[in-house]
Amino acid sequence: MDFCLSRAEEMWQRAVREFAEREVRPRVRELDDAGELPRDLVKRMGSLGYLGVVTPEEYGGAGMSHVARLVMVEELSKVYPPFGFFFQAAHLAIYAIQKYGTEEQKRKYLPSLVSGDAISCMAVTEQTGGSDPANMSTVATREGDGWVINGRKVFITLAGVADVCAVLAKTGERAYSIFIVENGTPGFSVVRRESHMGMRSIPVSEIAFEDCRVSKESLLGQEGRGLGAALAVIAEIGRTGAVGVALGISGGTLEAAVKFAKQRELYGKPISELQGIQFTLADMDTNYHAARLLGYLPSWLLDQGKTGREVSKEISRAKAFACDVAISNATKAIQIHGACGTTPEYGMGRRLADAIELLAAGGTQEVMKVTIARGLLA
Amino acid sequence: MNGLPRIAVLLKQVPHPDYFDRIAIDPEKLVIRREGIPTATNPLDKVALEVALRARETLPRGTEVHAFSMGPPAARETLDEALAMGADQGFLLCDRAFAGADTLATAKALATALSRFGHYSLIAAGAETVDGGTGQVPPQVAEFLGVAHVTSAISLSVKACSGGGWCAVVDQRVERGRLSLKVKLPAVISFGRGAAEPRIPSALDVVRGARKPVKVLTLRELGLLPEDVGLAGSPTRVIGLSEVGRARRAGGEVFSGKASEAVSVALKRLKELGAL
Repeated sequence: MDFCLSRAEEMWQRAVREFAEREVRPRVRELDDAGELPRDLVKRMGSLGYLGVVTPEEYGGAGMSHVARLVMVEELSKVYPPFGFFFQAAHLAIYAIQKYGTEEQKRKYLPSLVSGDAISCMAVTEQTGGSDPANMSTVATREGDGWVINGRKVFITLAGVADVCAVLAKTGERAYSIFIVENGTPGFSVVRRESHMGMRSIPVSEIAFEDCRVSKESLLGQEGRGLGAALAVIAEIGRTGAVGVALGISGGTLEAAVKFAKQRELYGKPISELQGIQFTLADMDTNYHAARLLGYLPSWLLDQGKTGREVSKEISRAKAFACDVAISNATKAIQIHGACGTTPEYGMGRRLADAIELLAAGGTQEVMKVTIARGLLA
Repeated sequence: MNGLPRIAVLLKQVPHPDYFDRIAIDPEKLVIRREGIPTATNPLDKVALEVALRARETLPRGTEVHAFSMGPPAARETLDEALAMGADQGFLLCDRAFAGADTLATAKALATALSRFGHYSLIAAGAETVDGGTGQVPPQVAEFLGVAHVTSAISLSVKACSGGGWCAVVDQRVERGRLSLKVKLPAVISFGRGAAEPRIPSALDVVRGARKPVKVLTLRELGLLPEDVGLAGSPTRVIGLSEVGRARRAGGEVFSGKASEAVSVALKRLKELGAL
């Protein structure tokens, strides 16, 4: 067995870590307080290739592995989880276009999306929930040479700032298709920005399509095969991204707790010398590394050529466990920080709020367990 | 007609500055215990690399920047970092015989490698390391190579000399300003703080960097003898090592009154104590 990162992945890990420490950490408090997507940093991360990490070089990307993407999301999330969350969402449509798009669609959209000049989102979830697409109400009907979309989508991460939206709509009985809708298309609107307790700098919005006309060239992938394609993208990018964010929160809060425990003195010595604190740190460390072992496996399997469908059980295990660990480690870090734990200066409370946001991202914990059980009982 | 200049950069892997609180001294061997401490590339060496990479952009196409490091196998990480930043090739001097080298033995090994594997016009390095902090290696390398050296430079431009060959124009920070120097290459130039901000590699930089080679150079390949290098080749012997206590002393003196008067009294007292 080889648990090592490749030479390129190790080099990448150091590069992302350096970016996060030098350019993100000094701005964490400001970003948390502002609650807005910092376009300057998005552009900067685009210039560093973060948006195109798994996109082929011919479309402006770096063509790296899924493991490299996970490394990147984890390292960014150790310092500032909303940035990991940004990539969990921003990579969805990019990946969908590179995987299912026509050559023309790839040439048209990918270069600007991977450079950070444009941002994309993917719209699947409706009021009925993201895990019940059969009851989806958004429909696309053929009209003339194109399509007309009607319906509403909720909890769409990055909608409101996205220039391009990949939307899943019903195109027939048990038939679903994905369409690329550009911001500014008549009939496409952002209804409202939703308010969430965590990931405050990443906008999540409700969007509406009212007689929104798009050309036939907007169809992404095969007509009627959109649900399978969307689920594959959600599994391979969305859920693995959530795993990376969860790992980052687990590792980042552990690092913060260790640092604080060594500095904070009580009874004339650092609290790190108290066995009660040591046990908590040891539990945090063990759970973090257990989550990493579970978490890196599905991305590695994807790099070996497996599909999201083939590794759905591994992805579900990783997501369910890593999210629980993220919440647990953030909570324990707050406890170790004592009264400082919930202050914005130390940011641990905000990291807990970020971790809680992951519970529903890309599917709830319960949906993950249903997937695992389905595999067991098949 | 000038041939293409060649640039070498010397880089050292050091304990990560964020973890200096974990460094301990081995009381018997009188060496710093570095086990388990994360490592990093010496920050000023990365500054030197950045300066060299920017100089390459102003020089004719085909000019190469080579990265050299001496250390254990793990020091390859430092060369990988340099390759991701844009260096063209890495050379790692790695042999158990090199262990325990002082600055002179380090410089001797590096100078041998530099003269054996390329005729470098410019050899750039950090002015000092965060662990040893002697600043001796770059001038010693220059002495071994028999070339000029400039220390603690803060800028660099490489130009064709009027009489042929290549020249470097460098600025040095001195007490009351800057000193501009023109040096005929080859030369060793060490760079200090503020010379450049090291770049952060992009994803594509990393992908390309990972395709570049790192050549490992052993004692045999350098043609040196065991007594020339490492502990055996080091005239320096550490006879004592102690930690400087940083505990605050209780008490202290308070100077009250007008600020200007209090400062004068405080300065006088500091002079009496020999602190100024």
